[in-house]
Amino acid sequence: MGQPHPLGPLLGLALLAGCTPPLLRESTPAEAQVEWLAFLSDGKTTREDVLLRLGTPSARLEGERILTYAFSRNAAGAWGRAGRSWGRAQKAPIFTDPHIHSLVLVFAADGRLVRHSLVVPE
Amino acid sequence: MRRPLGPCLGALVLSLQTGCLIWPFPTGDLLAGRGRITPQYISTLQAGVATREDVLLRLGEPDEVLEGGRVLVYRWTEARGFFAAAGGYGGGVAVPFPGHRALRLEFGPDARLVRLAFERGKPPARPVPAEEP
Repeated sequence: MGQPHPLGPLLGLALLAGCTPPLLRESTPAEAQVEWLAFLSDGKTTREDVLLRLGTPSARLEGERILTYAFSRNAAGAWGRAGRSWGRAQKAPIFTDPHIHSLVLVFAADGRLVRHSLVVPE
Repeated sequence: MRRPLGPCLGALVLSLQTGCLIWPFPTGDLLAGRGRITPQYISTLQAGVATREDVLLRLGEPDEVLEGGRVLVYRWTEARGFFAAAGGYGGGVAVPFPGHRALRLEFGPDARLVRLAFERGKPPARPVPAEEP
């Protein structure tokens, strides 16, 4: 009886793995109402509220009109801010954690939140 | 663009003869980035209609903001296969083949989407930033 081929398990794993990496999608309303985002309310929350609660945004666009934050879960299940690292292959700062949640906040001229979304990997 | 199946299967069979494995098919692993963006997912973003705000709310934080926000780029890297070789004592090594993907979106002066395109291959060379102290 011959020995099992050492690459057998690897081949099996490859076949078991899905062929599609995680897809981006907008979160459901329930997902966007997690505890640390429950204070966000369109038409009420101000930019000041957001900055005081969430700190410095990871990106600012169109001046300060659009702010974004990136979050991920640590091994203990707690949410924390996520950062980018320099990807030598991509030649750009890029997220390497595949479980990043991206929060996008759009403010009106008076500083009140008008639209927001949470983009998550599926 | 789909890979031709014949050469891929040939590489797989030949590699098995030499004690290693070249797996030329996607494994579903994400090597970098927040996730894959599909044409179906962005089908609601129509050129001339969608604004920069609509794009950001749909896709989240971009990986690159170029020309003062006129261009947004989203990047991700998928495993397009791997090379594996068995070593002694039950050990081995597997190296993934990276497939770089990007979605580039261009906006007009009125912040409306003018053009969007999926791109493949390594991004253009950019200077490596200095290490943080």
